[in-house]
Amino acid sequence: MAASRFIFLLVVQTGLILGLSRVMGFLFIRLRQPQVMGEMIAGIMLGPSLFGLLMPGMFQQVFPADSIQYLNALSQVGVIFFLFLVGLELDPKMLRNRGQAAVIISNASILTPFFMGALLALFLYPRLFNATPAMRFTSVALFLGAAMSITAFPVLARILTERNLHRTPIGAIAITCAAANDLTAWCMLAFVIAAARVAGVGPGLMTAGKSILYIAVMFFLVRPFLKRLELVFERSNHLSQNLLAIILILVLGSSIATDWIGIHALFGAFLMGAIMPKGTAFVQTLSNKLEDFTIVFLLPIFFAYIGLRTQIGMLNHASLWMYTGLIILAASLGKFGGSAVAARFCGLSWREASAIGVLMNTRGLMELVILNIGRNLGVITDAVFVMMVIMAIVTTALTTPILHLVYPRAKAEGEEAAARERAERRPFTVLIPVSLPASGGPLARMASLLAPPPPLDAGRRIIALHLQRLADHDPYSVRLSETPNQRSEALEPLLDAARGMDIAVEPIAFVSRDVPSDIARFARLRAADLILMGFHKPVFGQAILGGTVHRVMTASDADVAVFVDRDFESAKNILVPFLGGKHDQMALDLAGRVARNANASLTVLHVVPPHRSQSDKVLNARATVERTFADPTQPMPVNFQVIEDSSPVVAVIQAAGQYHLVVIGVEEQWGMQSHLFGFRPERVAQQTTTSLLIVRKYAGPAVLGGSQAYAQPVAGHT
Amino acid sequence: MHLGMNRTSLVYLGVCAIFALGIWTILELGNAFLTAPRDLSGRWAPADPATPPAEGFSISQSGEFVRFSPDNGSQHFDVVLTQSSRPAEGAADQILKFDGDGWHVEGTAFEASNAVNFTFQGPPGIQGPRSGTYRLERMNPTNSPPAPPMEPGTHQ
Repeated sequence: MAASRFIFLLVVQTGLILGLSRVMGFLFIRLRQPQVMGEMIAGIMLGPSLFGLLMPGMFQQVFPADSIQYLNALSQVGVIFFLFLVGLELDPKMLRNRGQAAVIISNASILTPFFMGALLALFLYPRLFNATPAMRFTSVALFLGAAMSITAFPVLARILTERNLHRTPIGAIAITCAAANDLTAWCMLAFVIAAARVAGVGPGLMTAGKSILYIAVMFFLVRPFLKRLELVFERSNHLSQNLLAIILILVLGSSIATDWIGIHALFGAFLMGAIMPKGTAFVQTLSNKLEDFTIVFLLPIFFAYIGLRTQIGMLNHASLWMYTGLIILAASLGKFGGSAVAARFCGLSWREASAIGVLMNTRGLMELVILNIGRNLGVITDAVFVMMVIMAIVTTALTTPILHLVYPRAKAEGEEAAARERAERRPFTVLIPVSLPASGGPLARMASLLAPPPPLDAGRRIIALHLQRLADHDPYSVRLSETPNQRSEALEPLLDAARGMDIAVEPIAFVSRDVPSDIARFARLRAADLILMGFHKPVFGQAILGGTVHRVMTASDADVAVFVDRDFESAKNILVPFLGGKHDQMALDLAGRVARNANASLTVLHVVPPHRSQSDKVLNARATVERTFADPTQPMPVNFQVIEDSSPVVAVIQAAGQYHLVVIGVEEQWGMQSHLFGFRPERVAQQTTTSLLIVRKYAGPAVLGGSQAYAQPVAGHT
Repeated sequence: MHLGMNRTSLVYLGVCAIFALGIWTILELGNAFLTAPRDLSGRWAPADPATPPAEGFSISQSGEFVRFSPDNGSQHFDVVLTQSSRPAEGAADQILKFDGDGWHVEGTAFEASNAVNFTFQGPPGIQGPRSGTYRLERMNPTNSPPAPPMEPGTHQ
């Protein structure tokens, strides 16, 4: 086949692989599964198990056998850099000063599945393996043990983050164990590979000697050199192309060295990552440079290559499926059972111990990497390869649902929220999700007016939350430094403004794959009384209350206020359009808070149709407003104005220009609420030039007490 | 505890020792008593091209589970190793019997060479190697990095 034809084929293949893996990744996220699951399945779909089965002719056209070597080469480069990234993520601090529980659980989670794998080899060896030099019993037993004891650290970290478990003791233990697992499993695998490749004591000792020399060189020569490179980076605060090239050459050189020694190229890449200086901007920048291309482009090719080698149709005998079940059972029993029993032994409850067991049973793509090595070494047969791939997919796919069963999110969150509730007397809590850094300052100013300090209020708590979307982030390797309670650059303007006003703000930042849901969940977890959001123009359409705002409003069970900042500095006079609904009532309450804290005058505008200014409705509205502001401490006057106009919206737009701030509820008549469920124009919001606070009261069955919390100080009753 | 260890540490060390002993026992048992089926995987060609079948076939094997894929493009078939024996105590040759998909295949493997005498008995009306006995030689004895991915099966 001509070279140009190969290039064309490679382009078609990679395009197909990337497209399908993205689509499947997206679908699996919707199914509450890790994105990597979708990408692994996409790889299988492109192979002979589905694409080749349904369209054999086209499959042969797109993936002819002689083109696979090119995909293989690309995929191997991808895996080398992926393992380097995994090594980069491995922070020795996580392994130091571990509690006794973590030590015991991590070791049990390696030893038990290793033992189960070796035990299973006694049964499978005469049935599924061939008498070749590479498939000696020792190699097979050790390989099966190592393959079963792996835990996919990056996938586990992602699941913990997504379920908000990484701050819990269980999450901390699981992540420590997984990190230890990674390190141990790769060392073990290097040993197994050497055992499979080398026969006899002499060559074995030679390999061991070379390995020790290699590790010594890495630690005593390469590591200090890397620290010098870090200094170069720090001086210029920039990762130059030359610096990047040197590091890439070192990664490749390390891979070549370990391959030459006989312990596989991937170990070299992993160790190179592991010895890099940790927790520095240097590593962070390097990781950012490499991960997108590696994860988005190269890893899906690896999955596709695995898929092309996975022919599920090969399991065409009932006994083969039985063996597959046995492998899954042994792997799960070893990993889950070993970790859970060890955790229970260390004093955790059965529920917590089971949760750790389930988490450790996540194997994901690390298993595929190991299986591919085993297949290339000839330690496992085609059928065993397929069975183990199925085991990797099943154990990873089951993690999230089983974790949900044994450790329900509501229960975990409920316990945490209850503990917080007991620990502190509840102040009025405002949660400020910040997307754009520039919106932080105005939001901080508004929050300070809505939640005044004692004695004006019973206490206040302002939480600034920045969620980084997963879509913009590496889907496999979650940086543990991005766990909650860490500051984010996006929050700095808000925090600066808060410092300027002497307001205490608690900053929280973490990654999220579903920002609106996580905002709502976090608000519930922290028992927020009010979610105060900024407005920024959506990409599509003109709606203010669209996109994330819409979803937060509908998903959260706290009250929500959207602040449309139009050069808001202070509020000397405030307008509240009032028709009488529950959202308007809330607008009155919030406007009262702002007026009191800003010493502002407040005008309540009641618009009625022509000739209806003396109706009962008007009288009721006036009574409500008077009741709300009956508090004698209200220092500023409250004016109740009635306007006769056939269009309340137009009347408010005309009046709004004279005020610094309009606080408006999302009532149907104002054209706000309707947008949430349709496309009616948000004319008030769009056509006024005044800053707006658009408020929506939570209408759910169980009000958390939020409305009372902010109504009381103003109204003095209710 | 004069050794400065608490009960948990002792239990932990004990478990590790049991684990090491267990692995050692498994390896000893496996190496002493278990044998994997004879490796047949790879390309096979007629030892004497003048005698039928004129073309050979490929075997992909996972232990007892064997797939014959004739080179003439006819449908592959899957068989399971049902018997592996030596004709006499201490004999070098090995008799292999396979059944599956309506096929009965017998092979006599010779230790001294890379050749196997295969006897095929296929179901009537199905394409494949013609029934009969053929002497074939393995072209690439696999010790063994695997072949590229197999073509999608139309079988079954």
